[in-house]
Amino acid sequence: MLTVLRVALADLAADRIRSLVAVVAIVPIVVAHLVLVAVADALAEAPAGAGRSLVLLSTNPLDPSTGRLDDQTVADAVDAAGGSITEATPLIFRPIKVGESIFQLRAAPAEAWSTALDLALLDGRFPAAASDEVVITEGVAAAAGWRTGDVIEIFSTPFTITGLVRAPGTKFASIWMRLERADRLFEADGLFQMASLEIDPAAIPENVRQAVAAAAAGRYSTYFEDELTELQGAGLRAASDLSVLGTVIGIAVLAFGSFNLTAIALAERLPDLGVARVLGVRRTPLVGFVALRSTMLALAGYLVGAILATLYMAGRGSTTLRTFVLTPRLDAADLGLGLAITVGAALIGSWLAAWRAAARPPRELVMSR
Amino acid sequence: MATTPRPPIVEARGVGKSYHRGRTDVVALRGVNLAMQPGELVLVVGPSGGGKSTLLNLVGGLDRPDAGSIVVAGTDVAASSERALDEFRRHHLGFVFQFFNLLGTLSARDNVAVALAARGGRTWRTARREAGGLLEDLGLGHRADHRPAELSGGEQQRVAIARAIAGEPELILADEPTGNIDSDATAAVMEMLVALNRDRGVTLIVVTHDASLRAYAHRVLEMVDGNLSATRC
Repeated sequence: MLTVLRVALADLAADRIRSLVAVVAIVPIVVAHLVLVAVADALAEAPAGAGRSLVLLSTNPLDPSTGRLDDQTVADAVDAAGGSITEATPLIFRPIKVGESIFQLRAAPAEAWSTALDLALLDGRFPAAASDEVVITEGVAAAAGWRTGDVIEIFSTPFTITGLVRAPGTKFASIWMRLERADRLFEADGLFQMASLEIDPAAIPENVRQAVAAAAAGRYSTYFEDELTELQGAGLRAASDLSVLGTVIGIAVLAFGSFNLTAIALAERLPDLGVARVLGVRRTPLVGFVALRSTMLALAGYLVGAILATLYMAGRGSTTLRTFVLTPRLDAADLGLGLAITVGAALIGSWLAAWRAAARPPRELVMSR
Repeated sequence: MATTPRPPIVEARGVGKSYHRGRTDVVALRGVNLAMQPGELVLVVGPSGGGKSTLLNLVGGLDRPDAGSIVVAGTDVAASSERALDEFRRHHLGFVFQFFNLLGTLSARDNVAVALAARGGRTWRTARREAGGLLEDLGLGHRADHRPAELSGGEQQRVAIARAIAGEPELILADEPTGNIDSDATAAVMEMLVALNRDRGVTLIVVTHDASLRAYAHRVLEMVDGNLSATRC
């Protein structure tokens, strides 16, 4: 085996340009695969939000910004729950463009931030009353690079970032403002897009949901918060999974590519195979040599691709997909699976091509020059 | 005390071989008989297309006859399995080709080392060291690390001879070994083959269309239209 490996290495080194081209051809698809796998993993691990909060929406859950709810509607929903709602929080929700990025802006009464909305202050302070101040989540900070003390422009008005918060679920990547300030900024006249209803821990969530939904009369739809996160992320996850599948298929196509490339490369080296057979080298080790040679190229391509993918992700840090700010990272399982697919595909393709070529009688192989 | 005659190293009886070319069957060998004693150097001459190379390929187990039997060094090469033929070639035969057929990506040393490594029982490092010794013996020590493309035709053929004798085979089959080299190199190669036969007792079948090489052989056979006949003993 060691001898075969040494001869294969010497053979590859003898034609460096062709070996290099074969390696380079594999690298882009490996990079694409690994980056997409890491993004898919990060999406799967995105925080889901609480299962004990109900969210009222008057419109499509994938685009809540066009909804219109009022205090009376929320009060009716709370009444319908028969005392099982401990806190009801109206939320203004708008997508806003700041610089080149689009973020969610959420506004809620300040007293609900730490309680009903689960915002945990990581740095700085919450916005003061009657001020042009906001806080941002760590997701936004990672995506935009903003820090406490920075000033950002929202609807042509400068706002100072006073703090950094951590927020679960769909709130993961948001800019937060006090409700009354957002009401003035957007001239909302007391209307808002969402309401968060905190369910009493002693109540059965599904019963509460059914009671609230029964009172909707077409004015709103009712979702658990984790369900909403799932809905909003489902499309992205499906797209991400499809992309990963696409690259897996791309790598698997390497098997056919490897078969064809090996067949073409062998076509000009059939006499060499013949000479090896004349020297008494059996067909299996000979085919093994060819397959090993192709596999080493695939392995080299994979290693280069994995290094480039890792460097790319380390350099980029995080990436924003709709409401999700993700920090893709590769784990050992991702790398192992990618390696297995790449090497396996190359091995199968080249083995089949070499087996077919070496099946010819030695005389034919030698005379095929 | 009477001496027991040694069994022939090559014994072919009634060997026939045809090839299909399109819709035509081309008869390459017609009931060829051949017996060779160990240590002989036999030259097979004749015009191109007469069946010389076919005979060599069949004796070497590179192809199978349509009819007849061929026993070489105790192995029935017409009836052996593919694996048995690999084993047979590995341990009993050396080949020299007209176009050298060296592995172009490997150095002269590695070309010879591959043949040694194929025979087994030695590491790659040992095989390379032995290969260097063989090339040294054939006057090519200084060219051992050159690739075939960097060697002259004569040098390449000497490397091919070194590869053929690696592992000390009993029989060397040389197919037009001087067909692609100049006259000076031809003399050097033939003298090398004769020396192998004389000094190491290697049996040789040399196929050539060059009648001037007759002087090197113990026996000359002529192959014309698939029929083999003796021209000189």
